[in-house]
This record gives sequence, C-alpha cells and structure tokens, in this order.
Amino acid sequence: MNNLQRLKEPMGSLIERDRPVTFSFEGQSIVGLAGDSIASALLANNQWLISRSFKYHRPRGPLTMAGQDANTLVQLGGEPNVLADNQVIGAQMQVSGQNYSGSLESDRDALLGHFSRFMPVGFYYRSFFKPMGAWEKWEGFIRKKAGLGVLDLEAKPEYYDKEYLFYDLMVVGAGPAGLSAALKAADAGAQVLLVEEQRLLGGALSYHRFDIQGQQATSTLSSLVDKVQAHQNIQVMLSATCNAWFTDNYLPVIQDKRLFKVRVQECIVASGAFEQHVVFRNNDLPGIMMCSAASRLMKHYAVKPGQRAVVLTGNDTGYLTALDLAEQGVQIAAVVDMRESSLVSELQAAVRDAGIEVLCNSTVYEALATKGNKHVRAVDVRKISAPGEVASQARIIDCDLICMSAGFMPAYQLLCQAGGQLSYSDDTAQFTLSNLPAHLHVAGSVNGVHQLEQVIKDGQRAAGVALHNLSLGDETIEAVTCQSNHNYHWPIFSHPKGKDFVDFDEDLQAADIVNATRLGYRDIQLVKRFSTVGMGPSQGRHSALPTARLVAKATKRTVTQTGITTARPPFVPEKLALSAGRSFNPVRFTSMHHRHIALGAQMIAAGNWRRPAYYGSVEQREQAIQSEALQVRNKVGLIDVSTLGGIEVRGPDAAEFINRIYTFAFLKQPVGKTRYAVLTSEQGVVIDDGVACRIGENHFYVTATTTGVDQVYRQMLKWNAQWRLNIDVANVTSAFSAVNLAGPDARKVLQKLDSDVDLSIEAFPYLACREARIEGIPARLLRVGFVGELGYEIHVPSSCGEALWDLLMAAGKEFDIKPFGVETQRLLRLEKGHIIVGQDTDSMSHPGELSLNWAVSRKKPFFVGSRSVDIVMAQTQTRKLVGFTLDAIIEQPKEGHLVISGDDVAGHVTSCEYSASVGKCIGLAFAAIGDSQPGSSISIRVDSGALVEASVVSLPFFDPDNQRQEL
Amino acid sequence: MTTLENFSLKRSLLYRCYQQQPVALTAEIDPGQLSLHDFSVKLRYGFRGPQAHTVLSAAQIAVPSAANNLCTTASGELVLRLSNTEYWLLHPQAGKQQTLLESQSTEQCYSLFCQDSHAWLVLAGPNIARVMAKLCAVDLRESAFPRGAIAQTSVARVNAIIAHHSFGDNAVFSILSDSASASYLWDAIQDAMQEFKD
Repeated sequence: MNNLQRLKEPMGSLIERDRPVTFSFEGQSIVGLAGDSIASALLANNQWLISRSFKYHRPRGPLTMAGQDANTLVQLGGEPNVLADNQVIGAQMQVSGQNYSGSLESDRDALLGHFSRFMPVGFYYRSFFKPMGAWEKWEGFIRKKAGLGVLDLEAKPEYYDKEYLFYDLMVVGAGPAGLSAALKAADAGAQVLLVEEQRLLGGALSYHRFDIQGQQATSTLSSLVDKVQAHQNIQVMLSATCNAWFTDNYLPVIQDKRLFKVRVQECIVASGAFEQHVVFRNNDLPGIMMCSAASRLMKHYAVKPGQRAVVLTGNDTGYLTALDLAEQGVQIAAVVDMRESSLVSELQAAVRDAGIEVLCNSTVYEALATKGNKHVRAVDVRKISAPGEVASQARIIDCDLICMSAGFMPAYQLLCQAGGQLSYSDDTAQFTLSNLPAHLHVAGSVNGVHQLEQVIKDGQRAAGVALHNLSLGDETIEAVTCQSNHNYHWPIFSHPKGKDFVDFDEDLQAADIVNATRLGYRDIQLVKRFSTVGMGPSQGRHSALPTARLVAKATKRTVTQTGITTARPPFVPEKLALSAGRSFNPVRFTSMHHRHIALGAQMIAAGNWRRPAYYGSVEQREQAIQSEALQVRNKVGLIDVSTLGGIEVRGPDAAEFINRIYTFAFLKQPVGKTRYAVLTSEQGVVIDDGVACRIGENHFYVTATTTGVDQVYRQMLKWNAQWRLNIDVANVTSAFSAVNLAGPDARKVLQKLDSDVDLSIEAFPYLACREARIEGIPARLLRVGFVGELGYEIHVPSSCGEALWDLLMAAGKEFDIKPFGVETQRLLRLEKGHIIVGQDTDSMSHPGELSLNWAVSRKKPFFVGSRSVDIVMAQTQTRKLVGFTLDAIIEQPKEGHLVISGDDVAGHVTSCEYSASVGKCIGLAFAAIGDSQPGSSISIRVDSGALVEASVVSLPFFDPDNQRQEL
Repeated sequence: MTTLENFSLKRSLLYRCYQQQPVALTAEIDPGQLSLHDFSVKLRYGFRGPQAHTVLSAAQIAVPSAANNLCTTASGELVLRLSNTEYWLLHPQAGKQQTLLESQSTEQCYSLFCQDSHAWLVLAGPNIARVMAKLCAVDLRESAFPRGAIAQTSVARVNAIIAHHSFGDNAVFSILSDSASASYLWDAIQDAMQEFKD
C-alpha cells in the first residue's frame, strides 16, 4: 500500500491528502501525508516493524495507535522514546527504531528470545552478585544492553515554560461523556477547560462504531463538537495531557513545551477506558493490534490495516470492528468470540449476513509468524474447554491482521491518585470507582458506562453535580446505569512454549507472573517490583488486569482480594525540561552594580545578591586583593555595602525592644551613637550581628548581615507578636544603598563634598552616627571600624546610590581613591580580628567561645537567648576562637582545615589570609581551650596532610590599640 | 552645589534595562499594545500604624474600606490599603520627587520607604492576566481580580504587590516589588510577554 491506496473519505479525519510529507525512517525516505503519525505513515508504506522489544528484541508494531503502549517507541533525531503512534510527522524528520544490534530488520540480539527460559523474571537479581567480583565483570555488558534509545549529549537546551490556568471546571477527556459534561456546565454559565490527549475532539466517537448501521457516532460527534467549538465558555486544549491529580484539584496539564498548572473548583474525569489485549502465544507480532487501533488507523488515517483479518473478541466491540473492516475492503477470515454466544443477537446476525464466519467459545491459541517474527501470517484457533484452557484440536486460519478486544480497563490513574478506590467484580469482570474526594467527579466509560446514550447522560449527570457545587444548578441528579458488559472474564491462554505476553513493555510472559508468586511474592505490589510488570512506559495500562488475574489464580484468591497496583503521578512520562523549564532564580543587584562591572569587578554571590569580590582579572586575584588592602591602609578605598541588612525600629518602645532583642545594653544608648549588636538564638548561639544606630529617642536603625537580615527581621516580628511593644519594625534593606569610605584620607574625601554635617573628630567621633545631606542626598552616616581605619558608612536612598558612588569616586580622585571588594574587606577585618557570623561561627558558637563577653550585658534582666547563654557559658569551655599566625612560607591553611590536638579534632580554621600589613599568614580557628592562650601553638592539618604549627596570638593582628579607626 | 531637585542624582535601578525601549519610561499607554513601563521614579509613599487611617483622613485622603483594595483620588492618586493599618499612596502622574527621609513619622503612624524599597512597574495592554499567569500563582483574570483589587504574592519568586487599576481608560497592573530585584523581574516579565507581542 502507499498513499495513493489510502482508504476513501470519510476515512482519514486527521490527514490532508493533498499535502505529502517526506521524512526518513532507518535512513529510508518515507512519504506520508500531513497529519499522519509516524506509525500511520509507516504502515501506509507497509513498514510494520517499527521498533524492537526491551528484553528479547522482538519485532514490534503498533498496538493501540493511541500512545498507550511502548511498542512504537522510536528515536526521533536526538530524542529517544518518542511514541510513533502519537508523534505527527514533519518534513525532514530523522526517525529510527530502537533497541537493536545491527539493523532494525536484522537484529543480532533477537537471538535472546531463544534463551528466554534461561532469563526468567528476576534473574538479574539472582545471577550476577556471586561469586565475589562477578558483578564487575557483568556490569559493562548489562549496562550496554540496558536502556532504550540514544541520548544526544550535545543537545542544546530548548525553551520550556509554565503557566497557571484558572477555571470553574476542568473536564479531562473529550469523548462523548466529556463533551456532554462540558456543554452542560458551560450552558449553565461555568467557565470550562476541556483537555483532550488526542489531536481531535470526540474520543471514541471519532473512530468507534456504536451501531450496526454505523451512523450513530458520526451524527453525535458532529452535533457535540460543533456546539463545543462554538461555545464561549469552553476553552479546548488538544494534544494536552492531564498528567496528575493533586489535592484541591491542582492539575498539571502538559501541552507541547509548556506545563500548565491548572486550578479549578470542580473536575470531571471522563478519561475513557483502555482496551485490553488477549494473552496468547506470539500476541505481540506486528499485525496484531487492538480493535480500537485498527479503527483509528482507518478512521483517522485512512490506512487499511490488513488484507485478511481475524477478529478475536470477548465483547461486541469485535463485531462492530469486523463490520468496519469489511466495509473498507478487509477480508474477515473469522470473528473468534471467546464467549459462548454474542450478547446482541442482531449484531451477530449482521456480521453473519456480511458473510463473516463467527466462531464462538473459541480463542486464538497461537499466532504464527512470518520469518523472523516480522508479521503475523496465520492463527491457531481452538475451542475453549475451561477458563484459560483450550481443546487440543487446532484450526489454522491464514491472516495478516488480528484485531483483539478482551474488554476495557478504566483509565483510572488520575482518580486513584486522588484516593479513589478501584473495585473489581469477580462475577461480572467489571470495575467500579468509589471514594472520590469532593469536587472530583467521574463520567463515561471510566465510570463503567459504555452505551453511547448512557455515556452522554453520565457526562451530563457529572456536570450537574459540579454545577450544584458551583452554585450554578440545583436540578435533581439521577444516577446513570449501564447494562452492557464489555469484559471477558478470563482472556488468558498460556502456552507451554511461552511468548504469551502479559506486559509488552518488559517482555513479561504469563509464566513470569506465575513464577513470581511461586517464589513467594504473593502481594501484587511485590510481584510488580520483582517482575517489573507495569513499570514500563505504559505503566500497566494493559498488564495490570491480566497480572491481577494471574496472581489471583496462582494464589487461590479472587481478583478483588488481590487488587491492582498503585497508580502514581505522572500519568505519562514527563520530560524533566517541563519541570525545569523557565525556573525562576531571583538575583539582586545594588544600585552601584553597573559601576562595579565597568570597573572590572569580579562578582560573587552573597545570598541572592551579587557583590564585587575584587577589581581586576581572575589571574591577578591575589595581587588585586593585596593592592586594594594596602590602598585602604595607606590612602582611601570605597566599598559597596548596600547588601547589609537594614531594619527600622520606631516607636515609644523602640529602645526596650532593641534591648530585649540584642545582647548588649541599649536603653541608655545616646541619640547619635552606634553600638555593636549581637543577636543570639534561644539556644544561646550567636546568629547575627550588626550595628544599632540611635537616630532618635524612639528610632533605631539596625544593620544586619547580608544573608541574615531576613532571619533577623522574622525574629523581630515573631518576638513582638508576643511582647506587643509599641513599635513598628520595617525591613529597609532594599531601600538603602550604602558604601564604606575607609582609609586615612576618608575624611578628606568626604569634606570635598557639600554636606551639612561637621566631620571633625570632635563633632563626629568614632561610633557616632549622623543624619545629613551630601550634595543634597539625604544620608545616614555611621562612623564604624569594621576594616579598622577611619571610615564612614554612608547610607542613602537606593535611588541615589549610584549618584553617591559617582560623587565619592570623583571627590576621591585627587586622593587616589580606589574601590575595594568583599574579599579585600574580609582580609582587612581579619587583620582587626573581627568575626563574620556564619564564617567564623557555627551552630554551636556562643558569645564566650567568640570572646564576645564584652558585648553581653549582665545587668539587664533579659535578652533573647539570655538564659541559654548563661547556661552554656557556665559550663566548662572546650574550645575557643583564637587568632593565629604562621610564617608566610609555610603551606597556607584554608577555611575548614582541622585543628588537631593530640588524637582529637579540637576545631577548625574559620578564616586564613596572607596579610601584607602584618607580614604573615593570619587566621582565626577554633582551638582546644588549653591551647587558646596567646603563646600557645596549634596544629593544623592542611591539604597535603601535613600538620602545620601555628602560633596563637592576641587579637587584633593589626593596630592593636585601635588608633587608626578613631582618628 | 547640586540639590535634590537635580533629578540626575535619583535614578531608577532599572534605567539600563530599557535604554532601547523609550516607551518603558513614559506614561503613554497604547491599549492595543502589550507594554511594560517603569514608574519607579514616580512619587509614592506609605504609612503604617494604628493612626495611619486618621492621619490620611485628616489630609482629606479617602481610603479603601478593606485591606487588599485600592481606590483612586480625584487627583489621580492611587490609595492602596495593604493591611488594616498600612496604606501606600502612588502618584502615577506626579513628576515631583519625594525623598526617603522627608516623610516624617508621627506617633503611631510611621512613614514607609516604598519609594526606594520597591520598584514600580506597570503592565498594560491586552493579555496582561495571561502574562502574569506565567509568573504568578494567583488568578488575576478580571473575573477573579477586578479593578480595585490588590494581591500581595510572589511573582517569579519575588515578593510583589499587584494592584489592578485604571490608568486613563486602560486597565493595568501595577507591580511593586523589591527594588534590588527589579532588573531581574523586568527581564522575567519581558520574557513572559514575548509570545503575546506582535
């Protein structure tokens, strides 16, 4: 067959007959029609072998034509595991089969199938772990064989993103139940989202024959679809998969490269049912497919699925399919009905009237293959003598197509994810769903309703319930019942030679499941994990029910007692790109950021801020830092400290509040003065520090560390929720930009600018703070000494930060002002022995260990953590943060290197740098309390493993009398 | 000597983002075009505290009756009520500048720092709710988020206040968000807008 031999219209609803599309398959040029799936185009070109099975490399062709199985997984360019029966063809597509050695047509690994008896289920677990070392020998071989398809490691990232959607009601599935539900709800005023996995509306109406005349589906489809498409209250999403159900109707829907996060008040699942296969020998050959697959091939793609067919059925569907096939010119060799007689006598009569032989109480026991198992060529049909057993007399019927329908399994996955209970009746072989959460409803064949009129009523019923919940309807809701039975009770005919597949994904045969139970895995969940049944791409859509039946029989229980495996999200395989795509990673820039970039700064992350580490090339890092440090020590430097946290505390109780929060005493802090502020946790651990500026009697401006301010702010709000002090707390970190102008010439630089503050040492001494205007910019000036030099922290509105930087750099030009970065600041503060909370502290560091006793007031009755501080500091101290020095020529310790005392780890290095000002390597480390006195030595294990001896010294390392900062 | 009236001292942290898009700085909104504007340098101030309502009332400023709502004054100011005791006043048309420290706090009514702590972006034109649906988990469609509504939420993982209001004859979203993250958010919104642009 080729495209010229496609079936006549109205067959082929998805294709455009006048638009040929050329793509390649296995290097061969294939011409399909626009709208074809890869599978339909290949079948139209008589290419039935599409891929190879996972374990035995058996030839596989389409099974469902609906993307519900793994038979048609192909490699599409650099993307593996693409469903050929779903993927629409495109010009120049490069498609190939998967999982073969050599060529798809001639796969050397197909020989594995002959050794299947030596590879029973679970043999991996039991075969390769002994003797000792065996795994190492096997691993390379097994890993080479494992997996499907080929990843393109050079693949370029593509744009994936996410979007929220909000509706009153979402209907999953646009079959007759979904369409009628959507219409009824929309007519009542609900905003409806209708999500359909396939490319067209209608579900079974688009391919299934519902009546002998074949008219009912066409007229119903046309009527429903026209109304839905014209309805303003209905938004339709095609080729979209609702991939999970989460609490409160939070529904991820995948369409193309976007993950929609849908939130709805009501949800109706009308997801339909999966047609089930019959288990017999060689039931996986190309040319064997579900009845629905044959119907889809004809109705959607105008592809004639075969020349001579046998229809194997356990319900009326097979008869209707036979009529469809016959109408399209397929010779029907026989309808093989596993039941004793068809339930609808008129249907059986219609088939016989068409000249089709009907064989009741019979089954296909074995499919016979062409050479290499490439296609079915005949069937071995036998009478059923007992459930699962057949008579010895065989009848061979030639055919190139087998259409099968053992029944239908509800597409229950979303409903069970929501907590729904799927129950099976051993008497009727029917399923029911119960225990659904409020606001989640079910309609149509997933609800066990199959007759078309009843399906439509069931959709309307579900909509009625949803409308009632939405306060858009109050009609009486009547239950919908259905008398038809679509499920044959035992469509499993094991064959002594095997290849009677239960699970096509994993090449699991009936004996594999039974053997699992004989090994003691009686629970269905254990059988699943041991055998891997249901763990392939189709996630048990076709294997769950026969597995449950086989386990039930093998363990002498009912299917109801056995149960089925659990359904978990996602419903279909989901690309990681959908979750990862367009992720948001906020980044914060100071107002001076672009000035740093222009000056050649190397930027580093500080929380989500970006800060200049130093200015200059990466290769010149050490020189840059040392140069910047000497610049600050000898002249003047400027650093952007805008990322420092800023918190405003205002109100009559502001001083009382600060006094309770921080360890120092603040009640009597004079206005215009700053004071070091240490924050401890309730466990007595130092968790942040900063400077509290008393701007006014009832007004404090407190700084906090860059990464700690959010925590400090939260703590303040939490505590005052209890204390109810009369204050307001505001996090103003982003509102202020700040710089530290530091160095012997800092005052001279600032004096160059027009300001209304007296900068003299007498009027503005060390640790004072002032509000002022600098060149008209409102500012807060703090005389603090983090780097140990004469310095001014200048805080201004962030909108003026860049202008302030420009003004200071211009004013400092004659003093050779240079910017300096965070790495330089770390060195400078280390020279002064100032700690950085988080770097020089850990989750156990109390004020005593850090020599911060001076910053803890013992006179006030309370501060946060005071009780714990008293307790931990009263205990025998075991370690202390000390300053140490080394000769510069010794291997320099790094942060985190261990301090060794005898056989014990006494602590670790928290900071270590080479200081040009001191002329040595200097650092801070936690040392054993016995080694903490100046003059002691500590042993540090460095990268090479050697122990480096360091001398414990008094702090600070530089300017011990602190004269420079008080100039 | 420069003064505060010299606007070159006061800059939006975003100004580099739209050097190629002058429309972003204007308040001229084309209702047919999806557009993003930077109003960060426009005047706004906020007050919080038990007496904030009283202070505003004394200034003849009407306030919304409930939190997370806004109203518009006769002069075009937007009055946002963010909690029972917190109000922000936005001046989309005003050109004059307000300094951070000039807003004097009074007892029980504390001035806030929204002029500098927050950037002010305005998203206007068709499909603004769909653009935001790519960034924010709150339903901002007109039916659920009518004009006058405020959402205090997360936009592209940054805390933000979204106000739905009229600007001229157009419905727009004002987005007030951390000024330090403003350029990140600007890029995130621009990216979300792309598919809706001509």
